Amino acid sequence: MSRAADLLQGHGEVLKLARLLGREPDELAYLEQFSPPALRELRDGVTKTLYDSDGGSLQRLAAATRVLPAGLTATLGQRAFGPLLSARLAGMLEPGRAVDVAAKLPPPFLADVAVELDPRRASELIAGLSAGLIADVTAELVARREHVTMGRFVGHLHDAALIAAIGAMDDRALLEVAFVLEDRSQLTRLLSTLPRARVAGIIGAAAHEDLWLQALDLLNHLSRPQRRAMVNATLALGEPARTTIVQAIVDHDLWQEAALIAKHDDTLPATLSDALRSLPARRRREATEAARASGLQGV
Amino acid sequence: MPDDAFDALRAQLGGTAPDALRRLSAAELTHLSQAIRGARRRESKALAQAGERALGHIPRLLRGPVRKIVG
Repeated sequence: MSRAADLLQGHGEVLKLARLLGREPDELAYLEQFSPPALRELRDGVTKTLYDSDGGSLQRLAAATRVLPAGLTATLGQRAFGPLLSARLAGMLEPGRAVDVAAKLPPPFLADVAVELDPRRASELIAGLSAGLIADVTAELVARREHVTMGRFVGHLHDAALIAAIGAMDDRALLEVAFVLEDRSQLTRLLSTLPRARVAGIIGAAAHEDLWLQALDLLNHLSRPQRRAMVNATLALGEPARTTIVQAIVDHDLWQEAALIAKHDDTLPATLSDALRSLPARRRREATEAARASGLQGV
Repeated sequence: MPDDAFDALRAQLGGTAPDALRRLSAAELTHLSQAIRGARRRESKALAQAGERALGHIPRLLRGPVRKIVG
């Protein structure tokens, strides 16, 4: 991952932590200097602390709901517990019963719960939800631009649910979710389910929304045919898009990613050389060295 | 002292904290510890209030068994 992508990922981690602590992200800006893995370790520690803090009381509350019908438990979730406590309780209910309760709750409330939930503690529940319900909740989360939340859930969805979730995302949301995916090893799985048209759509979104950093970061995780499809989609966008992608490569030092593109587009090194000529001499020298070190020949 | 503040943070997190956080100033470490403590308190308070609110929605017949389980 490039340094720029690392910084953006780190920012995403600070957003997650701020949400967990009920703080504004700006208050925790001093954490942005740390690597994404260190921030993830901190967030895991905070999550454990908060979940364990009232563990006994929550367990008793979860046990009490066993004597209640699923419909009444759903009502209590909405009217008495609210999204935060419902999220804490979700992983403590017997999974089959939790699925029954979830099915009786409206998608907007489930989206509220999803924002607060640690999916690792409710994995069986998430795996038991129907693809239709997953699609409805995803649509809510997309409307709220909750990319970070969606990124935490991907690894816990069964295949049909993942396809339904992707179907509920527009191209921009899909790109943003892929970039902030909690479990990066799931990226290949996510991308392998994509129809070819969606790859072109992601590229279009990157061009229109200036999200090339996110799009180029994906290149490292694509199979060779997917990468070719992505490069072809980029070339099909024409010269304006090509100019912005070259600018993103130079601005963010995305030389490794550029080397991957150059395998499918042999005109890229010459275009990059032209772009580098406009840089001050020292910066140009450093960028050229970095490009060559990444295996980008002809720059 | 940053070391004391780091130890306090570590205690908040149940005995472990990423070593990289030692680079933070004492004020930043203290801020982080307080943010975690504040979140814990808010959640405990919300839980206590939710328990009371929940009983109001439960049919009278079931309140006894529920109270018995919750304690």
